Amino acid sequence: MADIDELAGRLDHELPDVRWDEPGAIRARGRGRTRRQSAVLAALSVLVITAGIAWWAPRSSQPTPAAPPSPAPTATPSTGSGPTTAPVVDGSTLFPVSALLGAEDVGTGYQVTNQHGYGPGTYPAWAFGADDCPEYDALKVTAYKSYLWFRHQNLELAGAPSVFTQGARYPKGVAKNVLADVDRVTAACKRWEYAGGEASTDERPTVVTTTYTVVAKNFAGEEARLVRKDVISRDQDGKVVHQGTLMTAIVRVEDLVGVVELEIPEPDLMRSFGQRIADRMCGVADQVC
Amino acid sequence: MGDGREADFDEFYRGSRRRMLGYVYALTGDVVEAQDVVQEAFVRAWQRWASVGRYPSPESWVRVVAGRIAISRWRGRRSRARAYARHGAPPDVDGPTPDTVALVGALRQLPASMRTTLALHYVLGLSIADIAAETDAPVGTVKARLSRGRVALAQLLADDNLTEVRRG
Repeated sequence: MADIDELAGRLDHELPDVRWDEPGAIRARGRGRTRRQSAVLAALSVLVITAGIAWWAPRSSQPTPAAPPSPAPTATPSTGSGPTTAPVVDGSTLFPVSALLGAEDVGTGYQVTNQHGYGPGTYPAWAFGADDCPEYDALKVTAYKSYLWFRHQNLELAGAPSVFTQGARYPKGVAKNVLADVDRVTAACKRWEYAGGEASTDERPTVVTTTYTVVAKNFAGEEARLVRKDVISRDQDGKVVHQGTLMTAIVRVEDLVGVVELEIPEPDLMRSFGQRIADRMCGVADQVC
Repeated sequence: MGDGREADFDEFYRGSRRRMLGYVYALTGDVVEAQDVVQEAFVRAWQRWASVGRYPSPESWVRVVAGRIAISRWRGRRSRARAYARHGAPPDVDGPTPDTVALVGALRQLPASMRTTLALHYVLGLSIADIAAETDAPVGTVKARLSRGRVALAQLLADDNLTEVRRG
């Protein structure tokens, strides 16, 4: 049995060397937050709208989608396409990088960062995990865990809002359950509170209120949800001391589910991103959309 | 922002981050999430570096901020999703041993104030007086948290062992 007297030594020896961000990247993140985001956002929106006009062209005018991937896992050695130790499926076809939202979809100067693929059972989180919601556990949300291949990447530009995107292919029929789980979570966890939170101190304790709001449905792909999550910390006088917003677009095309996240409340932009990732997933879906 | 100030911050970040990782891991039990919390705390330090950089112990400031972020439930499981998005999966190397994981798991079952006190003392080696100053708690309270925390941990780990024995 481990003893806490040994903990420092254990951590010193056992914690892995992580891939730290360079100091310049840390400073850039700090600087980016202090800048006004509106100018960047405006530029970003213009680009999306402009690009969106082309994207809205009839599907028939688009190039033929890539050859459909094998729908079932095949026992192959590790593909080496991600950090996963022993994937047993070929992620390059099950959910290729081309099915994710790309840097060119978001804005000039955006770069792809932290692109990774994960074999079954190796990615531990999902976009609607809400285990601090009292009702969440009882929902027994599990569909998201059964993906055949999961992939994510970030789209980043210093000083501008980052866009996070992820996607997965599921066994036949399961993707519908993932969307159904989004509905169950956002309904059961419409609003919840707890004492404490990041902004809470002994001198000024706060209560955190979290809300899920479904902003739009079925605006892209075969099914879609645009969900706004607001987290607000208030002190005992009701004064807001901390708040944050996360917009999440989740879209299903056949057995593929794509997600886009943005930490600013821009529903129109998020709809555009949702439509974009739907079109990208159509390019690799088993049937032509 | 002058180059000298940037160089000071960079040196501080490089010199402290690993130590902070151990501390925050003891609070969160997840390496990737701990890394995300530590980097977030340094981002905030840089935003206030004009003042934080002049403190006698900037690391103390970062520690408090990181601890607050780590303990917070505001980020919930979303923070884990975001941490994985930012940093990818943990490196393909052996992580903490099962004994260490069990110990940190037991720590995470303790109240936040007790957990932080134990981590500050046993992971970072802070004195009782320093912990009292950092957590804004009387020395007697810190002593009590350490003492009660050890007892609670021993109980939790004993229960855990008993469960393992029963499982065979």
